[in-house]
Amino acid sequence: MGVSEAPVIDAAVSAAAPSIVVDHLDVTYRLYADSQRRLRTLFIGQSSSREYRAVEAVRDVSFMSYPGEAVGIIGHNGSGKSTLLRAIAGLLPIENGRVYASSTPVLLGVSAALNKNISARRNIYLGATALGMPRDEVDEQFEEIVEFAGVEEFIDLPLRAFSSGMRSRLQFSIAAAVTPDILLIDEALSTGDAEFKERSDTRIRELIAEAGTVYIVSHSLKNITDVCDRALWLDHGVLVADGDPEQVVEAYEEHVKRLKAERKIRRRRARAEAGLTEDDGEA
Amino acid sequence: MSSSIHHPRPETGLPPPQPLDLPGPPEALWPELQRVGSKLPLREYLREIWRRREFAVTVPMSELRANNQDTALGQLWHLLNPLMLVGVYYLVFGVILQVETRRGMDVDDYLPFLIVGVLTFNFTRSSVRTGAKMIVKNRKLVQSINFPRAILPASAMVSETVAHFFAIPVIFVLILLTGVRPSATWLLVVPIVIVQAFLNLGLCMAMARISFHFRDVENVMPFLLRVWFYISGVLFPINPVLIPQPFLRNLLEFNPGFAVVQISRDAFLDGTFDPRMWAIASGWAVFAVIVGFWFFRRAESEYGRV
Repeated sequence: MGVSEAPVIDAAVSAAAPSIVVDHLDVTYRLYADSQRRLRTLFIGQSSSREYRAVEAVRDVSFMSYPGEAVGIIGHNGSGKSTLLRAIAGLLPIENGRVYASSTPVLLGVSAALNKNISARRNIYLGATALGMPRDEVDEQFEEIVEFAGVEEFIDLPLRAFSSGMRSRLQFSIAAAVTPDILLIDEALSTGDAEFKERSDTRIRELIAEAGTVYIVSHSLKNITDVCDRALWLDHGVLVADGDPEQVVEAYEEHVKRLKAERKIRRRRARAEAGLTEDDGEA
Repeated sequence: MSSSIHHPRPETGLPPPQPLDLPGPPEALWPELQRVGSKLPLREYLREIWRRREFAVTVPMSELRANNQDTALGQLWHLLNPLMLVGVYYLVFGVILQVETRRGMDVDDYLPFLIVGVLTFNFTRSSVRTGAKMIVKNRKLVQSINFPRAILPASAMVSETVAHFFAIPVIFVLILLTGVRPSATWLLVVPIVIVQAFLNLGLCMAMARISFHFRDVENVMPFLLRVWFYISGVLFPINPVLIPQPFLRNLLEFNPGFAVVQISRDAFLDGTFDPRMWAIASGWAVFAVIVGFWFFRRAESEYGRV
């Protein structure tokens, strides 16, 4: 990532180009709700009677990140973390706003892009060439990829014989071999054992040192504070915090505690009310 | 209907993130930034496909090839299926109904007529069927990796064309066995395959997008292909005796399926070359690729959605 040739218009704008720019991003899912169709409506009803819901998964999110940053993304389930990552990777249509990247981001997701019916060896070629690596380079890196994932013995077995942990190790290994400038990791490392976690953390740090950018979505808050130097907190699609991982994680944990406490109080109240009416014979 | 349940913003105790305050658009400030999700210019798109050509020829088809993996004859079925069809049609129409003797059936020999017709049409039929499934079957890949999606129908076309290479000698051998004599026009097989491959490519791309949007199409497709088969002069010739209505006859003659079958039959059985049919076939091939690709590309950013 070199220094940009663009004239510095504002002193506050860094001369070094960011690796990712997200500007007022909205990502909306349109999902068809399962409507109960009776035979009659098939003939009489309109074809557009199927309801669909627009779910605003990401709402007006803006931030920038620079090469050499490890950014963690935290938030409750369904807060839009994966959606955000996939939009940055260019895999989802953008409703509003813009996303810019200095190079094509590589996304490491939980569900394998790899084919379970063919051997791990072929899958390595598959994955690496899909990510744009020329075949001779894959040949060169092949040994390393296998070693890093620790699957030497099973390399010619079909991927369906691999455990989920082995599969995600292999996926990470392939993605790391491509040495992407921008790596987006969506909980893909959660199924690894402690030893692999260490290795993958080291590899991530290497990528950072080589001025790559890494985004990590993880439910392991410790992982975020260990590896990342910045954290984004998404809540129901909205970016509510952006800063030092320790602070953001602390605030998030506080919030979760508060929600739990509120829920407890609500439940107690509901039970109390139900208890009062029990005498009337109806619960 | 939108999901606009209001969720109260959590109290973070931290300064709220601010929108970007840039003095200009990012692409102007930092020219090396590429806008994600924007449409690549055609040349770059094709270059990206070329960069991934090894991926293109192996991966997307592996999902579908797995279908025949467990059978004893494996990939051979690709060839056996149409040959069995030829057998059945010949039995019913040739032997039982003796269709050759009917008025208007100006066919020298029904068996080679069928062989060339069925196997030629099958190239297109198989390609369209496979191509249509490519986005849907490779959903996971499309949702995980950002690559030019046209690679998927293109790889179906390549794979089916390679399979057709194996069918060609079978066609020649079989028609030789029925007494047809080889001629110089047999060499036209090369341009025929090229024209047909491009026709198939365009259809693959169009159908891939359509079945992505409407999965119902998968159910209708075998039916549509069958209708197309019947109206492409595979089982019977299209001439004024059998189809007296001139408007209908012209329509049937103009359909790309018929054009391709006819130029094949002309070249392999009659040793002739009909410029009009070739023009129709080539015209359709060019049209199909251009329109199919354009149509497919329009939804490029949507294929990755869950």
